Amino acid sequence: MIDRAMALVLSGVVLLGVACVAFIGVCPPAATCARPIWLDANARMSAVVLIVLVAWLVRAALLVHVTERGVRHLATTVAPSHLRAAQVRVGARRLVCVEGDSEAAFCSGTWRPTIFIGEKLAGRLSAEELDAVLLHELDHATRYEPVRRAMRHAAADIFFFAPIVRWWARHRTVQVELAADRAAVDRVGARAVAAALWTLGGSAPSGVAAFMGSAGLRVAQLLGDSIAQPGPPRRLVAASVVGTYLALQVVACAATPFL
Amino acid sequence: MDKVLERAVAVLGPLEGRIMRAIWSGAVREPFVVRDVQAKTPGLAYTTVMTTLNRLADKGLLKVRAVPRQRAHEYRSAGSPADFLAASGRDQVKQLVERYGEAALSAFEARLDELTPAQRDRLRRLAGR
Repeated sequence: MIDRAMALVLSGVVLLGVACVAFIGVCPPAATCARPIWLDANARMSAVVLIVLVAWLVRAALLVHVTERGVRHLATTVAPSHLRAAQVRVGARRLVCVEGDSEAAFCSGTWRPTIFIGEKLAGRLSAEELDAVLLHELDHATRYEPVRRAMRHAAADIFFFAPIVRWWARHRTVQVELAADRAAVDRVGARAVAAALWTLGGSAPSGVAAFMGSAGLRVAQLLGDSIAQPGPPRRLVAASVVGTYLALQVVACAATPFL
Repeated sequence: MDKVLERAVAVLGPLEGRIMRAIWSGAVREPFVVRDVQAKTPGLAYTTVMTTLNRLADKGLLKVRAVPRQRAHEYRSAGSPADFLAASGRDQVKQLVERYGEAALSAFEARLDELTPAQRDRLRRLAGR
């Protein structure tokens, strides 16, 4: 809830900031309002871009911060010997074993992405399944996927008026998941990745919202089926055009009283 | 055992931790009523202990039973500190993935319930099961 509120506040700040720049920019020379000489057309454009960029970065930093805070609170334990052996086999530099009954594996961390794996999950998977899971997550770590994902999600929040940005963020996430599977398949084969998916399939916590819809595509890729994904729906494009136009109108309206 | 107990107590809040420490350490003998716990946690009001015990029961740490012809309920521990730590770790990770999985975590997600029966069958065969 706080997260959502923060996104709305940041979006509001962006709109206000853009309105402020628009106000200074469109202020006629003869008017009494002060117009900085240095603020020519290019500078105005740069200011708008800067405001959006700062809001985007702040939002992404917040997402990363709250996620890492949650990860820091996880109880961790010493990795069992078979997990350490798998870590050496796949060449993962940073790996943390999460204590307890967790059956999840994930990658988190901004500058030093780390693979986290539940103690119970590590015990359930065979050696080749464990390698497949670690290689999948290692691909995310190598590409700095957690921070990239935060940037995409932040963009979707900041440009809330253009739903195509959110569609793109999700589309990109699915592509990254498919690429991570390919990286794992290259090292341990499709059978090991399929076995890991099969083992985990019955135990994934219900209601997990992460990358809903990607499991079907991942399995299709493993089976060699077509994974062609359609482009954005037309209604989404139309809604984004209308949304962007309305956002610009809001900016113009906010600037009008000052003219 | 002491280390596990301390880690489990640390996961709980101060009040809940204090009460569960008394229960898990055996200072309060099971089954127990509110008065038994209050006797082992000096300085806490009866209603405070009762509210906290009910909250712990809601969280699944305690089992509560209404005793016939008796106003006070009987409580029992629902599991050991190790059980609690294991479940706590699972819930924490689940919440984390649910909240931030799409935003800033990349989890190895495998929900097969969205597959067609034919896809499931082919995946099973590929996996060698």
